[in-house]
Amino acid sequence: MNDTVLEMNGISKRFGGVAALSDVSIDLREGEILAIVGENGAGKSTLMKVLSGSYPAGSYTGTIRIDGAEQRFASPADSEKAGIAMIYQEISMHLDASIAENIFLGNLPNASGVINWKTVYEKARQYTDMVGLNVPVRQTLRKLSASQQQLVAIARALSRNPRFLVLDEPTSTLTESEADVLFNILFRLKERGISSIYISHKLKEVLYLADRITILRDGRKISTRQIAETSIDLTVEEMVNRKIDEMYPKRAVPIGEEVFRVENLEVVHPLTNSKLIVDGVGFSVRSGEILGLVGLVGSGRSETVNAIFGAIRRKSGELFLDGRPVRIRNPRDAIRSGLALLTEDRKKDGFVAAFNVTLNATLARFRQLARHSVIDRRREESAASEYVDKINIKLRDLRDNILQLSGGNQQKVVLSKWLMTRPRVLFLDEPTRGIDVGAKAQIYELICDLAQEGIAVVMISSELPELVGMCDRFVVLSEGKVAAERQRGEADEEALLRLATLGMG
Amino acid sequence: MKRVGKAIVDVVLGVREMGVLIPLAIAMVIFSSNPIFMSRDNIINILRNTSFVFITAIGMTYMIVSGAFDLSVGAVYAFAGVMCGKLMMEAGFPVWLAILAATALTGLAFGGVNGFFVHKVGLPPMLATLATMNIARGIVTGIQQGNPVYPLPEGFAAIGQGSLFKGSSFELPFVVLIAVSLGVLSAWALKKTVYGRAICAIGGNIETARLAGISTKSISISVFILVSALASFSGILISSRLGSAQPNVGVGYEMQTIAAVVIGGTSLQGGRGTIIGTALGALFMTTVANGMTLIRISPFWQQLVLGVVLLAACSMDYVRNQFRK
Ligand SMILES: Nc1ncnc2c1ncn2[C@@H]1O[C@H](COP(=O)(O)OP(=O)(O)OP(=O)(O)O)[C@@H](O)[C@H]1O
Ligand SMILES: [Mg+2]
Repeated sequence: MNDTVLEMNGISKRFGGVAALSDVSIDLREGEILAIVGENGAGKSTLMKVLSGSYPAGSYTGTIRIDGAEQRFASPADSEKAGIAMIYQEISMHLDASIAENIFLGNLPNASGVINWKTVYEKARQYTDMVGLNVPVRQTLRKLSASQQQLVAIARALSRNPRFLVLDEPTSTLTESEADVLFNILFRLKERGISSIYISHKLKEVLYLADRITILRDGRKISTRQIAETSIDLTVEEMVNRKIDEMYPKRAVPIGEEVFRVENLEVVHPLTNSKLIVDGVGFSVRSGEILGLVGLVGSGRSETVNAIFGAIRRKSGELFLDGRPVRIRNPRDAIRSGLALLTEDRKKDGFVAAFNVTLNATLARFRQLARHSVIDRRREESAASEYVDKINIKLRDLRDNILQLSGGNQQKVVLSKWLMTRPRVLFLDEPTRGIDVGAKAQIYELICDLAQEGIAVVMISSELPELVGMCDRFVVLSEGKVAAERQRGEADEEALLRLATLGMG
Repeated sequence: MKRVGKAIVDVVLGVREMGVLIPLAIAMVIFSSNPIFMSRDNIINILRNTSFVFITAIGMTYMIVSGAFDLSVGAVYAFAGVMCGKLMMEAGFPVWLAILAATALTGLAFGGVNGFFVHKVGLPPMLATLATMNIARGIVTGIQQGNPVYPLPEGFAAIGQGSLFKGSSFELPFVVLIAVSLGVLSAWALKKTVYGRAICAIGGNIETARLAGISTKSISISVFILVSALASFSGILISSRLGSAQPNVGVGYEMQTIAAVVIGGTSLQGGRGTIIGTALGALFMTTVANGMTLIRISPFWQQLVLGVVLLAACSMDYVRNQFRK
């Protein structure tokens, strides 16, 4: 067995009166991948922020040791010096700086203070190549998709030549092929004796990657097991402390009339004006139906739903509600017409960081909850608490700032914002991103309930099992065009992936 | 003992708008070395002068909460005073109509132009309002060639100079009454109306706000109009107070109002802020200016103090934002 190189012992951390971590100990061996799993709010990210010095020594109790020597990190810069590189769950990078600048942020290669940009760009290229990102390194981050930004964050961590790599849900925004590249990198690092801590809600990849799994629940360590001695079922059971019978509670719901249809939708490519990213897409969805939009990143699936919602500009396209044409020029029109869109990047455009839970949950509905334009706080709070109960959001107080919630619970707040508008057509772009298994099952249940109430649901997900498990019908997009359409039962994961990749049946 | 210390820290860092009370208290102790400072007349004077800053700072609070700011308020303040004076003296408007017309027209014109260039053309607020600041000041000094509009009608001067219960110990200048009413109304509107909520959402995350169906552009433009209208109204009041409409009044006024807002605890990052904080901030700014004159600090040095205060307030805001994380 390899030597233990990093230990966290008896870590406890409180926020105000609430314990986020109670007496948690983990150890990491040389050249090992240790997975940490647990429900939303279990304390995974908090534990890693303790390790990285984001929560400085003194703000928690317990000790951190590297090679047996105690470490007291006052800031992330300290932990970086000790060889720890961290990829945070909430990407925090400079959107207006270039990829290269972000990779070397605070660490620009220079000769006595003068930055040699040519070297910077060349080196940055090495790292973007390594993670499989094919975008010029001078591009600003703002123009990149969420998955590309995540790849930059990974490149940045690698550029520090770490001894310990910490990855907090790195694949929640990645596609399968991007994730595969990352896994190969981790395996290679492992051979060189570099250890990783890997946090994810995707248990399949955890079992594939990790040597050992540590499970946290409610801020406590439940177990640490060798991969060979555990299974997905056992892990889930320990995580949620109960059995989950059925992941996809798909019910046969009578499918009604067509509610919404789009025809000939065209959207100009954001980077090259001469190209279309959505090129003549059309589909319809009926009441009670769950429609899956399948496609790889770049296939135009997110752009399709954003353009329908009026969030981005359409070049052309006709929309129909109940068979009659509707005019949707902006999100306001869309909401009025009974559309709702859960966007894929909650931090960018899902919530308002300065707002508390209630204000975020009611953001698309506060005008209706008000009386004669005057806010009725009680009514808002009772509306918010209804959804907190319904989809089981873990929080202390409705007036807590949304940033105090764990990532998965933030996502649920954003989802309740849209459910509160009582939409007729609900577009869900990656609805379960960063959500734990137990909560996922609840959200699927909820989507099924909505379908049963007669809502038409259009769902995008990079997790094919989720689509296959939930949808009645699939529209496969490839390079901005509809490549195929399949009914439930006509296509499995592999077939859909093949259609999406090859763009033909 | 430790608990008390922590409680104080919590008040200063936590309840943002209360942070200004401590420097305000310190300033008052220092200035009390001159007995005139605490006299009834001087206190009334401070309150009156606070009102001129506060009325515009109300609009500036909305502005900063919505994530933008406006440098043109000082020039607009002078412009509206002169316009109102000219409407009364040259166009023969009755006093109330002149005030109404000058407030509305100046507010709409400059606020509209600022809003148009920021939200339709896409200029940064700093540049657009710097330009209108020069345009407004240019027009008003150009037309007047530096001369004030003087004299002004008698009834007009009473608004800025008069008081309720004059001479009694409850003397309350009309402008203070007006400022307090506007303050209460706007604090309520910011916290309790859909309009206020929309402004906070826009300043907090404009993209999230737009996707939630808030008309971000028209609301942001309306805030520009609101701040210009309030600056106009305040400029009219100051000309009434001075008894003449001066084209050079309000130089540096934009910094005073922005400082009042920031000292009052409104976050420069947008999304949150309070009117009560701004009122205290305006009181602080005015008290410092008044006190410095009383303890005979030359007006030439006062600008330095203003700059330092602004820097300190902005740094406080920054530290607080780090602290929250
Ligand atoms: N800054 C904070 N202030 C107050 N409470 C916090 C703060 N950060 C986290 N918490 C609380 O600590 C607990 C653990 O949160 P943490 O983010 O570590 O969960 P997590 O396991 O990473 O969850 P997820 O899978 O959703 O990312 C949660 O209950 C959360 O609400
Ligand atoms: Mg987390």
